Amino acid sequence: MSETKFTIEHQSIGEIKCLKIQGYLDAHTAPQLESALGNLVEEGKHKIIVNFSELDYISSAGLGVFMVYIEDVRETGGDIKLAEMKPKVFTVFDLLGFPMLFEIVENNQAAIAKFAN
Amino acid sequence: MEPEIQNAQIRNNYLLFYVVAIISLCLKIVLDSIFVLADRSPASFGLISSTILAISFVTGLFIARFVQISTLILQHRAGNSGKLILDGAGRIILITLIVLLAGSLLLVIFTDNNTSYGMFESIILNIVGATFLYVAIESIFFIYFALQIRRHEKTKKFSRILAFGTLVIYVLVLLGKYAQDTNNPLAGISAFILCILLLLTIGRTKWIALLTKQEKKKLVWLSALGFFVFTFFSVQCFTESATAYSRPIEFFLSGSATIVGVSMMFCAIYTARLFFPALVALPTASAVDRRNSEVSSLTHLNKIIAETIDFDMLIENLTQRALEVSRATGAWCELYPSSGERTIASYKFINQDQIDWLYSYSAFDQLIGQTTVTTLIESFDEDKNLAPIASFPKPIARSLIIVPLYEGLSKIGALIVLNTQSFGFENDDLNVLSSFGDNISVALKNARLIRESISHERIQQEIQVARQIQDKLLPQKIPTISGYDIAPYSLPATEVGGDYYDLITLRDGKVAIFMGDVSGKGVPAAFYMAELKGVVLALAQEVRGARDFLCKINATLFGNIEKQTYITLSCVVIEPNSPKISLARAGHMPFLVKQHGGVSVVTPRGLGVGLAKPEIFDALLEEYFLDLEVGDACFLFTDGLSERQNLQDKDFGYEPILDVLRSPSAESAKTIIKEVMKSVEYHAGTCAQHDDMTCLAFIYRGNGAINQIKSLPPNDRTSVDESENV
Repeated sequence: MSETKFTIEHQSIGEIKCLKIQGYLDAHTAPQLESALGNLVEEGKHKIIVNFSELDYISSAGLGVFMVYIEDVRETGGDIKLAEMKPKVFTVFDLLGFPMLFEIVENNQAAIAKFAN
Repeated sequence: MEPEIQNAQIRNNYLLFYVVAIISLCLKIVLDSIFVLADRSPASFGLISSTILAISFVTGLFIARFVQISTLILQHRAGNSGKLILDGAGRIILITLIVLLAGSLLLVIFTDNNTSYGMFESIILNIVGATFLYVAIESIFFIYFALQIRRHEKTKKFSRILAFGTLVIYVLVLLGKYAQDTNNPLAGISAFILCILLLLTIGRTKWIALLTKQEKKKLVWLSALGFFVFTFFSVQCFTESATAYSRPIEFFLSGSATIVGVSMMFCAIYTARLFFPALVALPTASAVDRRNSEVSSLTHLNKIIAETIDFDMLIENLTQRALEVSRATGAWCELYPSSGERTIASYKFINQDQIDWLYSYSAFDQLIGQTTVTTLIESFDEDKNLAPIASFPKPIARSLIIVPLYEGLSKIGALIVLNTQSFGFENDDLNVLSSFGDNISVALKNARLIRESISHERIQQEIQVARQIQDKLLPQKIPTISGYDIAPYSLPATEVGGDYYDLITLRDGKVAIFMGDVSGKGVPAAFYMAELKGVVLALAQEVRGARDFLCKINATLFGNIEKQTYITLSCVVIEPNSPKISLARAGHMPFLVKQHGGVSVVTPRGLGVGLAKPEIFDALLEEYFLDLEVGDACFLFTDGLSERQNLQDKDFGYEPILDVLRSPSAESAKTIIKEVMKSVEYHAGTCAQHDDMTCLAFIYRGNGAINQIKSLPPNDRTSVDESENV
């Protein structure tokens, strides 16, 4: 699994940044996502959507990445919203209780709408 | 010890012959001075005894030299024969020259042309004659040595024929002399045959090519000098005049002049034979020397490359060797680390300031930066951008060679070799330096592979340590709980995971069963697992139930572990002999419960430990209370089990486990575990296990039921013990 590619696609929707993640997110690929998120936070981009539409697998280490910056972005009025999860990926988030900590939404539009509120 | 004794014996042997020769010589001189005045007719006692003594001198010397030379040849080990021959030639030519000059001087001063001899004159003639004979023997053995030491079988055979052929000529001449036969063709013919043989034998002069330029020069001078000296000597021996060399030799031993003449002729031929190849080899000598030094430098570099994993030493050596093999006047090696500036790793005959000064020219900077293959800049003057660098009277460089160094496909450095002259380098410099570059690339690759294998080794050791820690943290023995049958199972993967299970007795006698998983893998996961175990043990005496336990664990760990790390944890609290159990779940896999004849997936709400501060965590954590009947069961597991995939990437899931719980055969905890494992192995097939698989099953046996180990049939007991030790 670790050999399988993991890629991140950057998109900008106004002041909102969207990271479209693809492939397998595990202990080996998690640092990539962590640095991508870290760069955004450092640049002061605190409204972030992570789009899961093409993510096939997430491991426990992958889940931990979202915890690293969530406090920082929320302190400045931003948020990390998680969008378009496949059912299998959602189950993993759900068991861990993530829906109680993060906003997990249908798609980017829903996330943008939530940011607008 | 033995070879030393042998050597000593041989030395004693030839010393004995030297002694015989010297005694004979002394006796002869004394005898001659007594008898010379009285009588010198051919058949007189004086002349016969004098001749015998002279022959004894010659034979003694001959044998002594033969034994000595043979010993030398035996001891000699192949390799430096060229140098030995050169030294030998130098010595014999020097000796001959000295003897020739001294002999001539003595003859001119102390002898006259009369056929009668005075006592003093006889002594002089004897000494000079003996010395000349000594030189002749010495020169014959020089050629013998020179030919033997080449160790070529044919040459060795010829040289033996030559040495003893000379002896034969001598005997023939002597016989002729004493038979009063003035015209003796046999000796002349044999001498001629031997000359031809000699010319054939000394055809092998390959060793001359291997001499250094210095040695070749020496050989040219020596052989030219030798040729003249030996020719002169030889001619003198065949001439019959009062001052000619034949006179003292003939006086010493009648008939010997020929043999001395022949020996000298051989030497003249041999030196002439050496002169021409040496002369021919001279112009190419420096090129050959360079080639030799290139070969030895490359060999040396390759040796270093094979042995060195120290990169700095390699670079230092590279610079040094580059200077040795090329016509460079200075060199440096620079590296381009992936992060940061160009660094000068080593430099020779140039300093950091001079390098910086060169780089202050942007054209130079560009040139080095853009070079991708080994490049020769023959003259800075030809490029108007570089010309200013060379426009000084004493420039640092007027020409240079750039050798880019690669690791794989990325350029990681360059070797820069300078010459203060325009057109200071030639094409062969370019070739050899280019091959240096290739070798270094191989060396860099080797060094990287070694580094990688070392780090791989270290990782393996870390994993080993982490696994040992983990093993110690899991329960070594399952406590017996009256009314319950409990069996755990753990199957580690190759990579260390963070799976955790435990059974902890609380203050009120209840038992908390934990099943958990630390996020991530490897050493950090094992480390956090150890921390978790510590916290669990510390809290055991003050908690009141499953939910309370998890809340207190979160309160203790939240903020004290890394943000991205969390722990999923399930907790079941059971009471001995009681059917009432309580369940709480902190982000972990659901409980699979068999209750009242049915099975269900029980998922109380709850966040992973370490994800949220206590206010949120506690508020969201639910606790379920269940009432079990006898035979009801509960199954706890980690995602390593439910997410175990097969070759079609399909997860194992919960359903097969529920099937096991449903089946009537699930009558003991051990059987449940066994059946589930059988099922998961069947599902996974040949697909490798990536994550630890840990699970635990317990069955309520009813109030007062005997503990699980005693309740099992005997054939299952050993397997339970095994699982306890996992």
